[in-house]
Amino acid sequence: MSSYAMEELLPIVAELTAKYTRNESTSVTYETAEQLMGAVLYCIHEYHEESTYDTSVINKENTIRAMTTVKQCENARRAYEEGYQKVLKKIESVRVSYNHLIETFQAYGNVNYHDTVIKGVAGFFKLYDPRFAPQDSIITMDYPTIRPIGEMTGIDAIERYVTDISLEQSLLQALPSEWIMETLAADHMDFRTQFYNICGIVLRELLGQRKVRAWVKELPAEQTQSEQFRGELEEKLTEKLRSMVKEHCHDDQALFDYLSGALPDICVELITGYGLSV
Amino acid sequence: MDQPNWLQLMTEQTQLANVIKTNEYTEKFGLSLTEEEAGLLVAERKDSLKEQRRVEFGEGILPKLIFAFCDSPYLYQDNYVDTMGRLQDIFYLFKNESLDGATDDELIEYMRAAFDSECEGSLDHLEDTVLEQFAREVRMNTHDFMSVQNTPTRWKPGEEDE
Repeated sequence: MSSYAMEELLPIVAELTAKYTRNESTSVTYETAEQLMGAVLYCIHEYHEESTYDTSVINKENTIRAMTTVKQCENARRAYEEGYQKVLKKIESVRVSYNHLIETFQAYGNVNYHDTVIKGVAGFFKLYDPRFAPQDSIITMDYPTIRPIGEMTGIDAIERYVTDISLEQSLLQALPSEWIMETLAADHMDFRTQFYNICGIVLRELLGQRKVRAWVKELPAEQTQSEQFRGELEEKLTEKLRSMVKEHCHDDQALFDYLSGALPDICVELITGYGLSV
Repeated sequence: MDQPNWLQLMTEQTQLANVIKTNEYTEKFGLSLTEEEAGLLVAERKDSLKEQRRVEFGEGILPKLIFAFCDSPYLYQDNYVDTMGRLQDIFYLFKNESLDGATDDELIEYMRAAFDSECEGSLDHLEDTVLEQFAREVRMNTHDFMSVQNTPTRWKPGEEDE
């Protein structure tokens, strides 16, 4: 990403501050100034993130045009304004995805899952301030997804979150809901009040955790504790996951990528027995 | 956090020029600032902002404070610099104390009215009593900026005390 001199950024922050105070205050606190600088940088980052993904170029002419586009927009003000517009567009696109998600969303009795997706994410859209605090994620996303949000913030974080929840739901809704409820209840009596990932529990069952755990327990400890064994087990589970997604979930690569994030932890649990109810 | 240098937009020389320019208006009230005195106020502004952990873009509040107070009966050439310096400190302090709940104009208007009336020119009384109450009301959202009763009446020369 291009870096900008402070002399380029300050006037943008000053203008944003004037808007923030409605020209009714010549000064703001440090915290407010940092927040507004953060807002400017977030939008500029958003602009450049989009620029780097402009990889639809194939031929030389398109490549030159793409590079020229990035160079022209290296002016900080333009990068900020265009980045801000991208933030607004992203909000709308995520809102559409979210509305689609909640049409058929099922929490399978888990209160945290329900409250986070139905109330929490809805609250984000009410409170999110793309102009003065686009970097704020606002909600805590208490329901943990398999893939961590990591350093993402603001609308980027919510976009990832809604995407991941949608992927989970595509797997869960391909299964009988009664079976899911039985699986959750067998894993933990109080599954309704747990703060864990529902999809991960179901995934463990789909990968045959009982059989695998029984098999692992029969093997000598010196074998199962080796890195090689863990690697081989993860490979087997990956293959099983791949064929399962291919057969039952339209070979959805995004879903496979999301679910495979759980495999390393599942392997460790199957080897050690830690965290398993089998 | 130290006041980051990157948050200073206007050079001190520009601010100095703006403060000295106020002499064109304040001279009619017998008040003026030398370049040295203006420089002192500008330097004090920087210290005050740092102490209050605030950032100021643009012209700054000093010219506005000067224009608001220059016709006060309690301001003389002898106390002009010290009073303006102190009013500047008080202003930034109470922007914080009121959690930015009052606009610049609202706070300055209140300060001027109180300075002339119940404070009778006492900056200590303004800071320690009147503005403490004001800030509390603003924080609690109980200060009625539109109410004439809640705004100290500005004393005008020639008016007898009621």
